Amino acid sequence: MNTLRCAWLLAKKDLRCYFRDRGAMAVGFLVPIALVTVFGWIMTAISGGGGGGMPQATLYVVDEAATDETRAFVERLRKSNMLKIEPKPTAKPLTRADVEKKVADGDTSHALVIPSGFAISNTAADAPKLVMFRDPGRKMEQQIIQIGLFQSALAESNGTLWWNGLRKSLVEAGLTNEEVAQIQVPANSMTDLIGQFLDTEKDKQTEPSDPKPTPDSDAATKSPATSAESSNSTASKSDTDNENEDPMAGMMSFMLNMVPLDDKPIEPPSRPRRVTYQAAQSVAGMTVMSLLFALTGCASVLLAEREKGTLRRLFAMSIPRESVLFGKLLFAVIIGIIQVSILFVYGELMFKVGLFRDPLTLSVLVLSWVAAASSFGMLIASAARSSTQGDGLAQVVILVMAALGGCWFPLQMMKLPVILDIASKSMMTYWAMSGFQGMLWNQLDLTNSKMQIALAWQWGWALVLMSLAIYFFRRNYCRD
Amino acid sequence: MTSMSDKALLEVRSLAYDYNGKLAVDHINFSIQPGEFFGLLGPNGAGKSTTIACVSGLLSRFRGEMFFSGKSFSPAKNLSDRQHIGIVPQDLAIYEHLTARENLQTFGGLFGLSGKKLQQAIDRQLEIAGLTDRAKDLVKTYSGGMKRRLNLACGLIHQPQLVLLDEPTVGVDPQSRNHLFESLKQIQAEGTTILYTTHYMEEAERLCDRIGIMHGGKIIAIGSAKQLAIESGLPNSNLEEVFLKLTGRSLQDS
Repeated sequence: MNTLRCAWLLAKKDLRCYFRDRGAMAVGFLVPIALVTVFGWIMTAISGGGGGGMPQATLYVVDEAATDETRAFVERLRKSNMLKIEPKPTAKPLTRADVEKKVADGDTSHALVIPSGFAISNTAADAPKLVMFRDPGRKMEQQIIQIGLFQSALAESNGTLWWNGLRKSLVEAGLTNEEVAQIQVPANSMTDLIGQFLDTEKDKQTEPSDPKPTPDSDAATKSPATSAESSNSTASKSDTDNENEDPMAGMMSFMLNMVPLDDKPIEPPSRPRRVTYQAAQSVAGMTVMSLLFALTGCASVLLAEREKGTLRRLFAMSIPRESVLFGKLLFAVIIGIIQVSILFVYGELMFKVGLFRDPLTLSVLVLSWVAAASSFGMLIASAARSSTQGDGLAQVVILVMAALGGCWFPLQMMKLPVILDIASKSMMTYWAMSGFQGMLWNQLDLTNSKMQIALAWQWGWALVLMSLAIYFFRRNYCRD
Repeated sequence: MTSMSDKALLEVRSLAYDYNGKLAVDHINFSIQPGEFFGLLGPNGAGKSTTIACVSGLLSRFRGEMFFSGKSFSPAKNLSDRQHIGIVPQDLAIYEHLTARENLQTFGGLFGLSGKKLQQAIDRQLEIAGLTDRAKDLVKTYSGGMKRRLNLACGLIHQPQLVLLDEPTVGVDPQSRNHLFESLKQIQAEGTTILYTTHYMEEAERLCDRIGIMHGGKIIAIGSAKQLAIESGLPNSNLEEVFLKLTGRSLQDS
């Protein structure tokens, strides 16, 4: 028999075996389709929902002024491709204290308050300014929000802010008031042009908006020094040290010179100076995901024992069968605690993220996640019919849970479809990330309600998954 | 409820078990006396392993009754009943990444042994299995025969009154098989009762005091090899010829 015929006969045999194994079929065909779908959504969400090619950042907005002008400004912010404005118009409005707490708890990186009496084109020194609560460590979101805020404010001011900002920058650059006044005429012409352009853009979008007054010449002729004093920028205040490192910082500073903004950075005092959001995200994300993989691997020992025959021997001994399942759970929990301890010591040495600042919170978080991840592993081991099927299933589910739970990318930068957004916030990985991020980045402890909710979700998942694992174990292992 | 035959260590009455409506064990009756080496001989699919699984408590949906030393015996429901039994599966049901001593410690511990009693039991089983010198080596470094001996030792660690061996010599080389037979004879001589399933005639003839021939889920003949030969009308024949006469010469796998 020639080699080709041998090869064909062997391939035919393997094809028959493959197509008769439903588990292998599912892993081979359906799983890639599911993965492409889910990751396609996620990647689209990361790149701004397919529209702008930019990621989105979440910005909570409180409109204390509640005038037609400020409502229009909020609507303008909502239309930005870069911003995900919360709360939704149909949701209950939040207060200044609410959003300040959200920033402090790490629920959002930025929150904008539009104070009473605020008018977007009024840059007088005593005029109320926008208030921005922000986490100064969240630099990526900061840049996105700055651009989105600048664009929206500029558009909503019909160009007034353009001249105010330019004048302020010119004064900062060393020009005298007289020199600035000399270039005011061509600048006003440009302001008109910008205003016309923005009006045209508004018409294109066919959206209802209130007609805006023409550029305020009074504002344009106000003292540059006064204007400079009256506005503040998120980039120019507390992040001055970083401007030299950030090529965008100069541009940001220029843009935000135009927006009257009162910067309110909120940072936990105990946050280590060296820690960055990316490092905290990385340590938390990798801990959550790697533990899921590791503990599912531990639980799959149950399947291996069944295939090898040792389980049959154990079942013939004078011990309850469920004790075998609980033995595997205990094994996974112990391994998980050892693994996470090693991982954290290494992470602390490498990134100095302040992991051991609050040992009690850390211990409770670790135990909660180990319990949830181990229960997930036990469910896979109890429900799968073979170790091959179990491994394939576990890998797919873990990758999806990790991505949707925020282990890979900050979820606040994603614009997920509603279904995926709900799914994401229901996942145990999401709450594990919430807990670890809360401890590492926002320096929350067990007294914080956000931390308590994250822990409750994880224990809830652990209970549900372990109950299902017991059900499948009894069905697949304890029946004749 | 008590057994009618109070002398028997194990008495099985009208044991039946079906898989999806097909009777794998069809109302069989047999009893095993204390210290006896009893064999269940039959072709593949005759119901030997199912019978062992019912007696060991691995299967629970069987019909019929079992008695152990005259008392009702339900190992599937009463965990304490399993304490009387040691099972030696056909597979090498041992942990290759543990040493022989660690394997024995694990199984002995699960049977409730501890401390000095456990250590004595381990030393004894290592000696019987001829593994004392290799007790601290990982099992994955053992030869096939050594693993088989350890597999047996793990089933005997708690000194059960009845040992169930389900085709323990499948795929075993002649030397290891011979060592296994000697070990079994030794534990029988020490008073342990043995229920042994096989489809090898010479094994049954060599080892068993009495043999039950299973066919299609039923025990069609029971007795010593000599009795079976006489009863089948082949007094001068070996067990294989008797077996073929009783079960027919056609292929038996169902």
